[in-house]
Amino acid sequence: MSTINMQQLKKSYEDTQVIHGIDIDIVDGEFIVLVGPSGCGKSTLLRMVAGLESISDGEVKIDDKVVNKLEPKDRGIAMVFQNYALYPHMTVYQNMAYGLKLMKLPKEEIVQRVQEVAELLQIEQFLERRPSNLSGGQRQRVAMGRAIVRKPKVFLFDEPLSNLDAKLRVQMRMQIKTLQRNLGVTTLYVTHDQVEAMTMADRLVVLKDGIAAQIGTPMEIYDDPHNQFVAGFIGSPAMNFIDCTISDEVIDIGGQKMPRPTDVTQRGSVVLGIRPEHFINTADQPAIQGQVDMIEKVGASVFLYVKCDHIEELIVIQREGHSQVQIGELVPINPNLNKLYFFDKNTQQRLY
Amino acid sequence: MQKRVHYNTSYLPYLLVAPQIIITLVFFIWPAMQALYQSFLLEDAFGLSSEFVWFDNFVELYDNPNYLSSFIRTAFFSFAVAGLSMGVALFFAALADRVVKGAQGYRTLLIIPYAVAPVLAGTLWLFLFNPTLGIMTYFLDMIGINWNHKLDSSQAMGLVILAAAWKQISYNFLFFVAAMHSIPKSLIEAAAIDGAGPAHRFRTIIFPLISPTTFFLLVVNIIYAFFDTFGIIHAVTAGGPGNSTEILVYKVFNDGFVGLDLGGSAAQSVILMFIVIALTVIQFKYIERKVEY
Amino acid sequence: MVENRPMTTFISHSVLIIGVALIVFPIWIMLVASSHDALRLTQVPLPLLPGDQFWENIKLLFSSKTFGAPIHLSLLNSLAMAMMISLGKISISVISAFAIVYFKFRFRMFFFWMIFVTLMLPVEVRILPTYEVVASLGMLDSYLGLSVPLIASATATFMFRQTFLTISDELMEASRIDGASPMRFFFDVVIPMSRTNIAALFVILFIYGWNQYLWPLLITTDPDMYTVVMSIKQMLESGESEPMWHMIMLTALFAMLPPVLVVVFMQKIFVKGLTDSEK
Repeated sequence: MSTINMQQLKKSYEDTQVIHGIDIDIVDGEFIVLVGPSGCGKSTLLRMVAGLESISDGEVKIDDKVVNKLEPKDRGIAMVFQNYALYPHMTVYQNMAYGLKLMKLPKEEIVQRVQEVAELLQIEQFLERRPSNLSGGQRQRVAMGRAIVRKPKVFLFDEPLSNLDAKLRVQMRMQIKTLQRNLGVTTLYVTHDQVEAMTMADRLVVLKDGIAAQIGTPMEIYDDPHNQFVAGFIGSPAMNFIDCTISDEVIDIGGQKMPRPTDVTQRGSVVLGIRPEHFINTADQPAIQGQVDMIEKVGASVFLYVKCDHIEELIVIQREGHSQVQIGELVPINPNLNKLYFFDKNTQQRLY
Repeated sequence: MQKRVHYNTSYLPYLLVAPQIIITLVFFIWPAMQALYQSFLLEDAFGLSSEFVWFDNFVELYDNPNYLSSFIRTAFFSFAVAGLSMGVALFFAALADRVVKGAQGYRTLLIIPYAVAPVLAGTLWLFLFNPTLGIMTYFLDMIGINWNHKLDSSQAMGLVILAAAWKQISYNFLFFVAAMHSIPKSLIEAAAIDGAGPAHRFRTIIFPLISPTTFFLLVVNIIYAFFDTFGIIHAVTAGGPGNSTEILVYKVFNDGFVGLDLGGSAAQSVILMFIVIALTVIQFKYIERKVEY
Repeated sequence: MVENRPMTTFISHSVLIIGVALIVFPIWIMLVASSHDALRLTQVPLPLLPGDQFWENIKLLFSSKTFGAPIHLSLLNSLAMAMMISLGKISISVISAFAIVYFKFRFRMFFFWMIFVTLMLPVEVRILPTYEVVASLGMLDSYLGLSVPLIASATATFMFRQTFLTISDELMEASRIDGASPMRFFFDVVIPMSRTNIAALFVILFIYGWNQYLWPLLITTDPDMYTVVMSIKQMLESGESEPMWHMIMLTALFAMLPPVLVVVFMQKIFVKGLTDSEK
């Protein structure tokens, strides 16, 4: 039964501050994913919780106890590293037992615990092998086993799947999630892959430049991004951003006009955001037109990259998989007017 | 240089470097300072008093034809040893690179001289070329060459060069083989397809590609010839006949321990030190450059 | 092999065999000489094939004291010196490299450069003042005096530093999470992961230590402290008479046997260690 609280957590290296005061409260058994582009500070944050990085300012509490000064081993955590960090000269058994041995647990208990976890992860048959004789997926499971066997209060994962091939990654994603749910251990999970983040998280923390841009459940973040960065980062392909001007009657996009939804109250120059999946495939309404520049077929759907007059970026539109649109064809651009997002040009904050 | 992550404990690292640092201070830095200091002193014949004479010892060395000729002799000796042992080793390595079967066996035998102490190497060659008994002397006599390195100074020099080079062949051989081994096979094959024969390939592809190793070995061999050949010379010629095989390191020993000229010996040590420093810097420049490749 | 030319391969082998034979020739002659009696070794031409006096000579060598120090004693001295130098060097270098790579502390770079400087000060260069230091510490004629001044080694420290830098950072972090102290990590992870390098270095340093000559020559005056490599020289200078070549060659055989065996049997590891570390 463990909670984690971060209060105004800050980290600086000499003169440069990399984490600018982060507040997160994690409840017991929650699966929290820290996601963001590289250099956003997500790994640093995780390592601060682990005790591998010192904390410059603020507090980390695990179960309401401040752990800032505690050694990693005394924080009740276990960590799975990106490259697994298995001891290459030890067998799988020894790898898993090493931490328990250092805890001075009795031999029988160590054997029993390792055995249990090995069964849980289906790695019993590898116990006497060295890591170098295992596949990537097997090593990954051993690394998890080493974490689980410690019976930690908190699991920390640092991009644990990024060294695996795509298919295995999807498999392991589900396994980790199921395992975590069954064990009920509070988990912090770092990834740069937004699909991984969306599928695994109970709640997401989207980080940018050492600031938590938004914290929420995956769907909250998808439906209701607080700013342009989060809107653009979550969702694939990314949301279209188009400069436009809102007047009383219309939304003016580079001289082409779209009706203004009545509940949009803002006026003036803003950034319009439309997700590729939020276009309607009919020619009913008076619409902006564009010419198809490129087509990306992914099977279930097709993404059209459309060039419109006076709009710099190509607009990405999702169509169903068997759409017969050709390159060069003119297509209508009909956004679902209920799914428009508006962002401030300067602050990039969500306006509507 | 260092790990991205590290421990922060207060006293442990000091404890860990302490043995190395203490030994370095006591047996390296301090004696080196002493040598530097003594090189500025002139002791009287009985070692009772000494006088600070600035660079007199060095000036004296500079004016001493004996020292200068020892300098030139050392240079000649070093390049001869380096050239001979590297040449032979390169030849063997090129051949060994060509054969598949038995390479291991050749290597095992070629490695042996590396393990032989310099003074033993000297003794073996001394026995071979013993003026009265030596088997080589006997063979040389059959073809009309009269061998007596105890009298003939160029023969003496030849013998110490031979013994010193013999010992170093193993080392050079191993490095040349490793260097040739690291040349991508595809490169050699491409040249072969272009119609280059083995000798041509060696000259135009292999040799240029192993030139960094060759340069590295040249420095190492010179350092070896300068400092590690004491035992060979001590056993074979003891610097003689006359001073004809007295190289710098041998002279430091002779002047200091036998001649008891402390200031002069110390000044020679200091000069040697600068030579080692220069050679080490060159060697490290090379390693640095190699990293960029 | 790029192309198959039986003729060139044959020539390569032939030349190699002749070449290797020439290289090994001095050692062969040593073996031959050590198996003949004293009389045969005064008759020109000397033999090219082994005789039958090998065991007789061995008995003579081990029973006699006329050739400087008793051979078993000097062999023992050599062994002690070689082991102390090689193990001593390895121990102090491995821990100092560990400190320099894995710790952040004041004067770290200063210490590093100090160790680096030793690379530039071979014993031959500072022989006289070092002798004085050892003499004033009362370490003449002792194993400590023979070995300790030679065990500081920048080369070994650099090699270990290089090895440690290739050990992934995450292992150190994983061990911290597992609850290992720095020294636990050192013994449980760093040392086992460096064992190949340690073995290779041991070969190089054992040979270096065993073959020391100038230093023991200066430090020892007591014949009971002579090393076997040194005693050869004593035997060469056996006064007026022609040296006892069969005994000298037999002693030489014993003097080179341990390092030769070490290098031949640990060949693979030695070659790798040598060419990887570049001196």
